[in-house]
Amino acid sequence: MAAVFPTLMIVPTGIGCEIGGYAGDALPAARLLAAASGCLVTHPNVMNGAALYWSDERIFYVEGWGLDRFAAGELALRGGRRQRIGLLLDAAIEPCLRDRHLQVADACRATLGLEIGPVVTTDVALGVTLRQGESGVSWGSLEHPDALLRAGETLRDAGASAIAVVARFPDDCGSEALEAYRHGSGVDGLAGAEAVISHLLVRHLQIPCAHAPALAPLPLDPQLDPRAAAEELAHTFLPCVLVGLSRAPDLIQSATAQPGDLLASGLRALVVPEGALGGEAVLACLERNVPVIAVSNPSVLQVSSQSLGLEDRVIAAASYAEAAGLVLAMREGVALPSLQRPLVPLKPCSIARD
Amino acid sequence: MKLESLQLQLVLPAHETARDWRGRILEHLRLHGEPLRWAITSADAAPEGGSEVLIEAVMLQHTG
Repeated sequence: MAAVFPTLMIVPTGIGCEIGGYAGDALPAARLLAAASGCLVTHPNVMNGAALYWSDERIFYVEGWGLDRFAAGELALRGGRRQRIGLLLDAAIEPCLRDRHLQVADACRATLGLEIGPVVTTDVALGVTLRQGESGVSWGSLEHPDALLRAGETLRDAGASAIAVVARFPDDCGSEALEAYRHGSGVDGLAGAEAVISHLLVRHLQIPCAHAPALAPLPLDPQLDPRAAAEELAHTFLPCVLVGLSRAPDLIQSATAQPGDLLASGLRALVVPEGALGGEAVLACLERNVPVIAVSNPSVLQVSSQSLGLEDRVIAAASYAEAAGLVLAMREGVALPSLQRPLVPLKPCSIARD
Repeated sequence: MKLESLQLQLVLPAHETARDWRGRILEHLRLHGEPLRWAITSADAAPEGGSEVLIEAVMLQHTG
């Protein structure tokens, strides 16, 4: 097999992607792309299946803000370290639900051997609010972002090298939006606020962070879509976050990168849904002429190669299986036109003379 | 510190390439604060060429 082919996989959170818009349901695609590339950089929305997870040494688990900075060339990724995960709990979590989360952390220590601790509770409730943008995208906010950052600093100063955040989210049991999500349509309404929480922490502390929402349990739904099922297996969404963070790469200022660190200049391909080409990491990859594989993966967005006039800048893939084949072809040095028909014959071109 | 939502409509001119877009968008966003999370959420061809885009963002406002 040829040398590794560092590939970035993005499935934006909160836009209702058919693949990846639910409970870690893009994980199979990530596993395949990791096998094809030998080195896959991706983010928690792809890897987090609540109670379900997959650990793969070829996959770099990088939170979205850190991913954007990496793609922009500002941060490098340094793998190989086992992280000590501090647990940050929102003061708004009720005692029994808080205890469930502590038990998950203890289970991950006892059964998976993860290094977790200390545990800090915010000094005031974070005050999570949810919102939907004009486009239908999930957004959200916090009433007390400073409380989040204070708690994060306490954990970092106490020796945590990564932080798992659990914030209390509003329960909306019985809402149409939640029912649609559970039945495999609509947008994950929590996603936008989750991203804001983890973005704030990574931006402030420059260490790996990821988020799990704390919610009251839902009644059994016999019509539950398989893609949403992983979030209804247990009392929390925390296990996947702890496993992902345990092997997350350190975030290093690019100017101080060392041999072995992964820089954006080393990226060889980006895999992204065809209608979601407007994110910062995607635009950063376009700046660097990183080959962009745009996969058919419908969502509420239609920011497509056609609407942006980028048809000649992206490689279309009808599925993640095809995308993995394209990555493997590029990794092995197989020219992509040779795999397609018709194969247009070469024609000599005239050279302009003065 | 507080968080605010922002929506911005921009034209990405025809004479610019995709290499220029992120910088142009950041330039406009920074007039309103520090962008924490943003994306182009809709894009259409502009009558005068280029693309008309809608940016949705969460902005940080530093207070005090």
